[in-house]
Amino acid sequence: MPERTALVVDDEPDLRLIASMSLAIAGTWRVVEAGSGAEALELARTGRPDVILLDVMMPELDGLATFALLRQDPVSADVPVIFMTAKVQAHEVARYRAAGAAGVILKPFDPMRLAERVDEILTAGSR
Amino acid sequence: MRVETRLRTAAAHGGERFARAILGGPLAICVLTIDDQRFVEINDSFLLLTGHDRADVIGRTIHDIHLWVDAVEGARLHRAIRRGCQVRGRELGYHTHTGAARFALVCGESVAVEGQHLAILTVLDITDRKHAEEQAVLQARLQRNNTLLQALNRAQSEHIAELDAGSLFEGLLAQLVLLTESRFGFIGEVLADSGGAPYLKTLALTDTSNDEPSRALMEKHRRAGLEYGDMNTLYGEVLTRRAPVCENDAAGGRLGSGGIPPGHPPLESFFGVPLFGASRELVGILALANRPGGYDSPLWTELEPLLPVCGSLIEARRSRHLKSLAESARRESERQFRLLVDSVRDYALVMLDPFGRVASWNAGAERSFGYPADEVLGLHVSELYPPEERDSGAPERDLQIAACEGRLESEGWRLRRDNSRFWANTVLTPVREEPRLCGFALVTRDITERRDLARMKDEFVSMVSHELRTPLTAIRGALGLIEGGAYGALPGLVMELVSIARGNSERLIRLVNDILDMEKLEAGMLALGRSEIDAGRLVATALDGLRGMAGPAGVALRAKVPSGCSLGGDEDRLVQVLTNLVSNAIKFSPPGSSVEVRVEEGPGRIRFSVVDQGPGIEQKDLPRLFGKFQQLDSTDARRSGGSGLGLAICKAIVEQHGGRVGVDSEPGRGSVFWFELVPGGTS
Repeated sequence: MPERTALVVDDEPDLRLIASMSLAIAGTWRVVEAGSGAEALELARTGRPDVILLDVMMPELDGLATFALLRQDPVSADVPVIFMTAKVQAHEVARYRAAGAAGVILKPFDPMRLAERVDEILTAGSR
Repeated sequence: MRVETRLRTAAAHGGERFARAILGGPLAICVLTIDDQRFVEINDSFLLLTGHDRADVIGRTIHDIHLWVDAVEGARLHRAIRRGCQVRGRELGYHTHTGAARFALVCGESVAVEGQHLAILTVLDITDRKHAEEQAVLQARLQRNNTLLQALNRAQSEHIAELDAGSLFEGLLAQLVLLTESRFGFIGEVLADSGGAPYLKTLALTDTSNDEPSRALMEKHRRAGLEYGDMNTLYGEVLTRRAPVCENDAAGGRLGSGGIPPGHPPLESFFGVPLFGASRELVGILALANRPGGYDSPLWTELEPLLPVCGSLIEARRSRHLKSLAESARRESERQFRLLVDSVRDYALVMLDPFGRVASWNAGAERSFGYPADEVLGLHVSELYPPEERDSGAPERDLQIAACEGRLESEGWRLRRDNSRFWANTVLTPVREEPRLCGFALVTRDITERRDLARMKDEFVSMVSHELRTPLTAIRGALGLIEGGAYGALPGLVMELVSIARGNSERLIRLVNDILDMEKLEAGMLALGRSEIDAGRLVATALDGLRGMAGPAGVALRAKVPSGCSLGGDEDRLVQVLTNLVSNAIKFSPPGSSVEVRVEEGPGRIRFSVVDQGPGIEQKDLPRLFGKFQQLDSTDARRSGGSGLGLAICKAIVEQHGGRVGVDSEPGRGSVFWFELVPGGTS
């Protein structure tokens, strides 16, 4: 399987590392990290990722705002976005889905299964 | 020599001259036969007295000329004379020759003259004197009546003028005592005690004290009114017989029969009359005592027509008294109510008229809205709503709903006098005097602070949630990766340590989740989603998530769900509830046993039951189970790794769905944890 690129966006460096290392286990992912919404927009345009893992709670430009901007840019508009959030309320999850996200992964996640979950979401989305 | 002897001598010597002198005198004299009262001799004065002619009288009897008015009295007189009595000064009525009746004073005795028994009568006319006497009596009576009438008139006027009842009856009694020539008396009101037995309370009482201390005592009692309850007395007899009672026999014993207060002068005569009100109800009694010579019928006849007025006065006083008692009770209760309403400063307590205009306004309303009462009375309640609400007709709608439903509680913006807004909790209740609507009661509370607090808490919870979960994610993640062996194997003991750390980090995560859940549930901030849920899928999802736990524990998972059973609610949360209950069941089930989830449909409800074959729970522990931070004992806590909030959260979620939870368990018989939901789901 050709290597795919995942853009991991989170203002917490530790969590970026965990996510990267978790995805790397599957062996099919190359991970690019962004530490802010602004950085994410930049890297999304230049890096052309296959999926964006987007943290919701970020200072300055939060997840939803970043997502909106990603949509506006034709280069990144079609990239599937998975929200990563500690918020567990059903109505909040529904909000993200309604916004057009491919899926939502709740934090904390099982690192051994992260790659699997991302694949599930992407497969479900492409159907 | 004495005159009498001289007269006798003179009579013996000069009898005829003597006789002529006597017979010629002004005194009417007649001589009758003792047997048949035949006139033998009469003098000129007798003829003058009666107007008869000599010829009409001599030889005829007393009866023949109808001399005496009362023949019986005349016969008695004659009998007395025949017996040999000397009758002196007997008053008799006599007839003149025209038949006119007059009064005479008669003396008489028998004499024997020449062998003949005769009766000599002397008659003195006292008619004028008699008339004068009667006139005097009549005058006196008229005078008394007049005075009594005046007394009663005055009493009535005093009553109408609402003068002090005490002095009114005192004055009346004083007059009655005076006019009846009594020494003392009282006027009393008839009342009933709590048992219904009658007793008397004096309205007026004559002062019978004879020294300073007793006068002071008397004065004290008179004002308050003395109470007499002994019916075995003369006045008691008046009450029980409802008729006048008269007793003049001082020696008879009845007058000493008690009921008289100590120190009171003894009774020599008594006259008590009942007093009736307009409705023939016995309202009081007039008692008089110690009239010289006692009481008699004529006095009663005089008194009787005037008594109804006394009764009416007592009755009128009573009803006025009751009315004023009721009036002051009403005023007092109104005063207390006003005090209460005014003292409430945290709540706006407002009365609206049926059209929604402000009728009353308390201190709390002034504080919340900024309007003093005089500025806002009469304004329509819509003035207190923000303009956009006014335009949409919200105030009128609120009034309508309240009037129909009987109550409306709502939260919304209200407008202050300075046009600033505050978030208010309002309860609007219609006030009815069946079936008429007389207005509305409006209670408003400024909960801006509460709302702000709620918002702050929400933000806090969000922030805490994020702040706690972020590091936990990193810890859990890092440990998970190490444990997963993805980045190299570690010596067994090290792996064990890593496993412990990872497990406990998960425990922390669960605890954080539970606490935050509980926080939101309690604040009513846990927003539940609503969707159509298939019961079978719900159960399957929960059980699937727990196979990893049940397997190693050696516990079999079973489900018994009727097909096509669905309900409305928050699927994720209900999965959470089931997962919680089933995982508890697994924790407490011995290896080789099974845990079954049953779904049963009943009228208007769906019941989910989680049945285990564990040790069961003691009766005494059952009530605490669904409380917060409840673990039956700490060893369980450590073993099961629970936060103690699980069941509390289940209860809160189910109750927010409008359902209820419960448990049936007995030691040694396993447990059934159940919850019921309405098919419609969250309201």
